[in-house]
Amino acid sequence: MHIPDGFLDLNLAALFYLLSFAVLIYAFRKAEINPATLGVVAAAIFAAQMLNWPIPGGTSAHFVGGGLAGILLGPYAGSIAMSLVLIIQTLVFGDGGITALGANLWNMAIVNVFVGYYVYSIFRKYSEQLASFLAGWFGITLAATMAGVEIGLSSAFKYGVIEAASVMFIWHGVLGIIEGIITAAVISYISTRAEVKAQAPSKAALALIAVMIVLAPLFAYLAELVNYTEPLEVAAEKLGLNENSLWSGIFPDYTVPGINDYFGALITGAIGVALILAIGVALARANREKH
Amino acid sequence: MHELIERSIRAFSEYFQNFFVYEENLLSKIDPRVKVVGFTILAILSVSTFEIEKILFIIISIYLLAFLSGISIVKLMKRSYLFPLFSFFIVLPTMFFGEPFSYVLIFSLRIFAAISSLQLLIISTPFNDVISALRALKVPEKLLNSLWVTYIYSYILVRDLLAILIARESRRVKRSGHIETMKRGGEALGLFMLRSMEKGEKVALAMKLRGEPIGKVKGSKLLIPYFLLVVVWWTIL
Amino acid sequence: MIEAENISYTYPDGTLGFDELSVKIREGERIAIIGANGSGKSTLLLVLSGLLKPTTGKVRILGVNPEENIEEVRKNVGFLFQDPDIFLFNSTVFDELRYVPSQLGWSEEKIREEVSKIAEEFKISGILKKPPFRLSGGEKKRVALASILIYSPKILFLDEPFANVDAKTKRKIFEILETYDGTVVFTSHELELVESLADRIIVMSLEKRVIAETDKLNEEILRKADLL
Repeated sequence: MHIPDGFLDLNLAALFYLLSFAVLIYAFRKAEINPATLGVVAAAIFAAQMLNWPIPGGTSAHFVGGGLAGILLGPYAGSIAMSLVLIIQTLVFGDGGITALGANLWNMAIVNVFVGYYVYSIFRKYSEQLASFLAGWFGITLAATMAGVEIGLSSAFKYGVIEAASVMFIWHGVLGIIEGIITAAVISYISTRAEVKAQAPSKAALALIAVMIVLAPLFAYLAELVNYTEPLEVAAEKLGLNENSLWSGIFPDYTVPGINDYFGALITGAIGVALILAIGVALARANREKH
Repeated sequence: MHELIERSIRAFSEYFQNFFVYEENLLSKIDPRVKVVGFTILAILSVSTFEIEKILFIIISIYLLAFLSGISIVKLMKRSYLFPLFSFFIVLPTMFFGEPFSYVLIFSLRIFAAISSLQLLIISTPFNDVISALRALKVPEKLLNSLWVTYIYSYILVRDLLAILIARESRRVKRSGHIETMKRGGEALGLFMLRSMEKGEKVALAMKLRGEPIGKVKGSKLLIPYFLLVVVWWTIL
Repeated sequence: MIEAENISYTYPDGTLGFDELSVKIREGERIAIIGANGSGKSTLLLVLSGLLKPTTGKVRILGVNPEENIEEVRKNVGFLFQDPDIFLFNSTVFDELRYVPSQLGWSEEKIREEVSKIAEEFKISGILKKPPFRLSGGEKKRVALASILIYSPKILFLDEPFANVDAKTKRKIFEILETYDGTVVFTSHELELVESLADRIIVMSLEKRVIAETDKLNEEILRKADLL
């Protein structure tokens, strides 16, 4: 479920960085928990995610723990704990892309945690077991569907949004049952020993975040309409920095129609490689001498 | 449960291989701010184009840098090829809907470029350097403290979790199915979460006594011209 | 009873648990494993009991290969962990004691009978309704040991049974091990207790190897094992 680099269009990636940061900064202010405690709990979720649960058919599944984090720590501290896990996974393990980090945070640290928390709060009056099962199951399924929407809307990924989102929905809807069972088992065990006490956050903020989650696909759709799928390239073109203008600048007389483009790119590329090689060798030498 | 433990031990060992991947090399002496920003830019450049020459240029400059710094190219490739390969097979069926093979190839290559860039950062930069760089880039101190604690404790807690699972397994005398394993394992996980939360509070106290864990950024900024040239040439290509 | 041939164990993070070694333990023997901290005693105990699969080599317990029939092994093996907190997980001491018997299909009547018998013996009758995690260190250790002995396993593995307990509990545990009708394998740092209790002592060095198998410790061995 960690989206790697290259699946999302940059404008979508940027949008989800924005959305995630908005919610996480608020959550960070609101979470009343010591940074060290939070770090250890995040490490525990991280370790729990590495367990390999055997499932029928001889393969195995992983536990994500977003719903659990929301229930145990409350949505604010829970979303921060999940963010820590995701940042570590990206920066230490290369699990999930750096441009896609905003979207991954949105799906697994926000949608999964908050939806898990909402579902748990709604159903806990009927049964704690059922509520935590649904929180685990629905949280992960919705997070995965959100990932499907983001990827599907991206023009870099040629499948449509309906295909991508429904594949993710069905697949994780089935796998999510495992998430639900484990979440329920963890919560029911913990409630035999301690009060499962998540701080109750203000209703208005929770409602606003819920609205943001519901509207996120629409935001993504709108961002895609702007059609700046390759903003950097558009900028480069606007600045007139493409190969043809440069090429005619250096070799104005060179006119072999047809091959020009191809060779142009090849030769520009070769010059580029030669240049970076030169700088690289110089750097390596300088660095070696210094130490 | 037995299977859960055996399989998880295998997963843990892969994890530890990743945990200790950092190695001393020429790149590790560069100011981590330059590396964090530089390699992020390379990743962004890789995924913001579908032009094959630009992507190849990024890949070449990443692997050239690795080679010149004495980092094994094979190692870097081994850590980078899996996701692109996986993605290749995911988008391969689009050919039935009229997408050219070049799309499938380029889609996978740009992922390969971006991942290689991130992996090179990981191989050449110990995590405390990454944190110092993030601090210099004005990421809030509290968040960085949590991040550092997460990093060190993930190593310690993996062992703790394993010990709890094994202790739980030692008193299982009946064969159990998958659902049973999930329930019992989930309970063990509950015990583990409780212990970890208690431990978290103790660590918070200990940290107050000992003070800040991570120091200042250091190192040369020699890599800046390299990254600049790659960016400029990417635009020109 | 237990046969281990050329076994070794390497942890997931690549650190060596213990280097290649072979061990044979006969029925009714009391075996002590001693060595400095980090010599691999606990890991060896986990592998000999079938809880961890050796990285190389094979273990047979009561003639059974644990990989083929782990449940058969578990029924006959009890393991006491050094840290009772990772071991005790039920909500009351009573549930803790009945945990294995109820898996073995004992009748409720028999369970109650056996529980009260063993609770009497271990002086934990007064705390049967308490949650284990609220108990003192000595109580926890006694509850943990009782919850294993209740199903009379043929082989007992104990990791540091004498650590972190008061003198009275220590004596109690000593008595139990001395009279236990079965095979006992334990690790300990208490060399005097080890010598009077064990029929055979396996000595491990910091290089994670077995450097001696003896019934009497001497200065040379202890020096080699970094215990002097």
